Amino acid sequence: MDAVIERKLREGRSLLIRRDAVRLGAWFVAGALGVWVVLAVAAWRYPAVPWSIFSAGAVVVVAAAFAVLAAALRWRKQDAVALALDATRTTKDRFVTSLELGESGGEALRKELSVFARDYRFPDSLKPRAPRLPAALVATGIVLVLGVAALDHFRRAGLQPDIASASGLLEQAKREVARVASPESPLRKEEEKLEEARKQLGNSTDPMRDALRAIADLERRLASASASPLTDEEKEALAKALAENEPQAAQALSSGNDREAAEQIAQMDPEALAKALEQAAQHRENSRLQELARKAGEQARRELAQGLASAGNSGAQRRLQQALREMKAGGQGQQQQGQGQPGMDLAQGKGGEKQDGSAPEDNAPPGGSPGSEHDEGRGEDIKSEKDALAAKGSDEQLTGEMGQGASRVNTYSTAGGDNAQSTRATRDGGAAQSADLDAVTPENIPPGSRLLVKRYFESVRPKE
Amino acid sequence: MPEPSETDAREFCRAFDALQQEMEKVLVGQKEVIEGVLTAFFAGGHTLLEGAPGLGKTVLVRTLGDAAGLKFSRIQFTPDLMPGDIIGTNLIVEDEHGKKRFEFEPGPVFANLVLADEINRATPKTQSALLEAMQERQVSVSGVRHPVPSPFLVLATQNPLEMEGTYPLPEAQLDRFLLKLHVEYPGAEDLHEILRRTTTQDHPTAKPVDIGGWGRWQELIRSVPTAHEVEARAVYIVLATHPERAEAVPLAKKYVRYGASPRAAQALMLCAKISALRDGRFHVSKDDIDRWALPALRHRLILNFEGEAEGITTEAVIREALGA
Repeated sequence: MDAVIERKLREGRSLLIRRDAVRLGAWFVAGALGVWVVLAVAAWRYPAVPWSIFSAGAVVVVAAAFAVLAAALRWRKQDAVALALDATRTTKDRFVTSLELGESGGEALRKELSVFARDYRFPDSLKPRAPRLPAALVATGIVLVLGVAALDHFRRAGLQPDIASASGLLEQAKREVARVASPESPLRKEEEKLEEARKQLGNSTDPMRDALRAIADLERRLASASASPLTDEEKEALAKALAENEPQAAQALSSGNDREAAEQIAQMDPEALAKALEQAAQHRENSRLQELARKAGEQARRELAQGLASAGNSGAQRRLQQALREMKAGGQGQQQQGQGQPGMDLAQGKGGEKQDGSAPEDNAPPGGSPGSEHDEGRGEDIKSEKDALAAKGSDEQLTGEMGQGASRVNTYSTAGGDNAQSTRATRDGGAAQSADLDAVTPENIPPGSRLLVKRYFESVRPKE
Repeated sequence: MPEPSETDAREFCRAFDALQQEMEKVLVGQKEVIEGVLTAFFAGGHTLLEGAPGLGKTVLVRTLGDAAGLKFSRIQFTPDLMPGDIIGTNLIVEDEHGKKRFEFEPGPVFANLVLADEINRATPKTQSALLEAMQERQVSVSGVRHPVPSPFLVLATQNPLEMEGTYPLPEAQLDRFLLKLHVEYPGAEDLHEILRRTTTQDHPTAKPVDIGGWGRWQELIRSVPTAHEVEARAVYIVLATHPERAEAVPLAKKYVRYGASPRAAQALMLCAKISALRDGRFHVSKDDIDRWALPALRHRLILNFEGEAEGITTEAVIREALGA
């Protein structure tokens, strides 16, 4: 093939790739930005959705790269390029002919094709030009991106005071934990969790709510940990069983000194404890005692001792729970004040069944207390708002009242229509109606309806 | 096959243009018809001219004969015209010894250019008398074959079929025409020019032009190469008129009974090659093929009853095949 034609085909291929890359790129970028915007909106509403403002650049780069790749693949064959160039109707199929007949078509043909290729200028239709629709979509996408970024910026800026308050609350909770828990206490782990929650506040849409939720979770865990493994009745039954051989342990159990009981049980012979558990379990069906009695002596002793020791250490935990509760109440006050809305439902699905508005008790069952305090406020507020609105817009049903004066019944024996001449009978009736109107007018008719009443009587009055 | 040379191509164009100029001296307007007639002339194909009476069809053919310097004969087709009146007949002649013998008296078909004027006024039997001559370039009389002179080109004129006293040409005969050209009514300016040329003493006539040997151009035209991709365009256009083919366009599927024959593709390629040469190219383009689709195919499609009842034209089917 002629070198000039080959060069033109290469140039044409480059043009076609650029043209298609721009065209496809516009569509790809538009589509990718569309997905990005959807993700952005979703992330704005639901922070768990992975998204970042900086990903817009990556989206554009990847879409553009795909477009270039697709364009390069499309025009990788010389035949396709020649066909596309000839399809512009400016070449008289010379490129296709040159590919097929460039060698065998004769000298005149070769010369003609070469001269043509030398002077050929690619038409404007091959020049890269972004199609309008995707270009408009991309422009819209960019505007949306900037809009989303601006909204995100303002939202974050607006949340800074909340983040600071929530962070302070969690710091305070951490200090409380540090103050209450000994260095070797498992409560120390809670400090790490609170710190983790504090770090997450930056990504939160409602920092105070998340801080309160973290504190509520801690409170629930504490409540769960401080629960005794045995009920008072079970302790009493076990104390009776141990009274003969282990009087100190029995005494500790009976008096509710769980820590002392744990120490005594830890030093007991597992076999003796197993027998005592079996004996105590005989009188109490479906109890924790039966479960412990079914286990091996050593294991039962360890579980019971640990459980009682944990419950015995709950004094500090209870103090911490109390402190957290107070902090939480303070935090809710801040939240309501800051957001101007009722308290949030912190424990939805966990312990939020309590809807009656009563204050939670200190020894409320684990899981029930953290959220219940927040459920009630919202429900009451909404109800009261509804009532107030209903009171403002309600209709009033009035009942009729019989008057005291004389009454009169008129029967018109002849018809009188709107334009009919009135007869004596209707004239008499009309006179009576006039009197009726005079009687009605002084009545307590609402001013807005007075004209209607008057018009009614005027319309039924016979014409003179 | 010899390669087309630039010199040959230039001389061909000169001959074509010279003939065209001579014809345009006599004929006003009708540039496309003149170009079509000349293209068919150089391609060695027969031409069917259709148009209302008085539009210069006969003058056109006569002018071509005069300009090309070829033997020209004219046959006026009438309902009582017999086949023998066209191809000739055996006559009993007496020699100097008084012996009688049959001697073939050639008919008007033995000429280079045969003008079959108002061909659709003759009966189909008489019309068919031209069949053998048009395709085989010979006529058979009493078992003896008589070749017609070369070049042999029939230029038939016909009035629109809906006019009274006409017989539609048989499909087999229609297919033998390379092109069917419509002679359109001239515009106002052309009419003024016609009046000026024909009603004054300044009456132009065509002078013979040296076209340099008709047979030479036949070889040149056929030596123009065509890329497969371009040839595929001609094949597609023809197949698109066949209702049973996958390539068929919707109009063809609905309204065409029989599509164009392979002769249509041959006609397309020959005419396209002439167009390419005239355009200074040594290869055929798709535009060249599209240019001749209407005249080369319009008389080869047979519409079904539904198509005729709905007033569909073969041109509409071809235009759809062209993607217009």
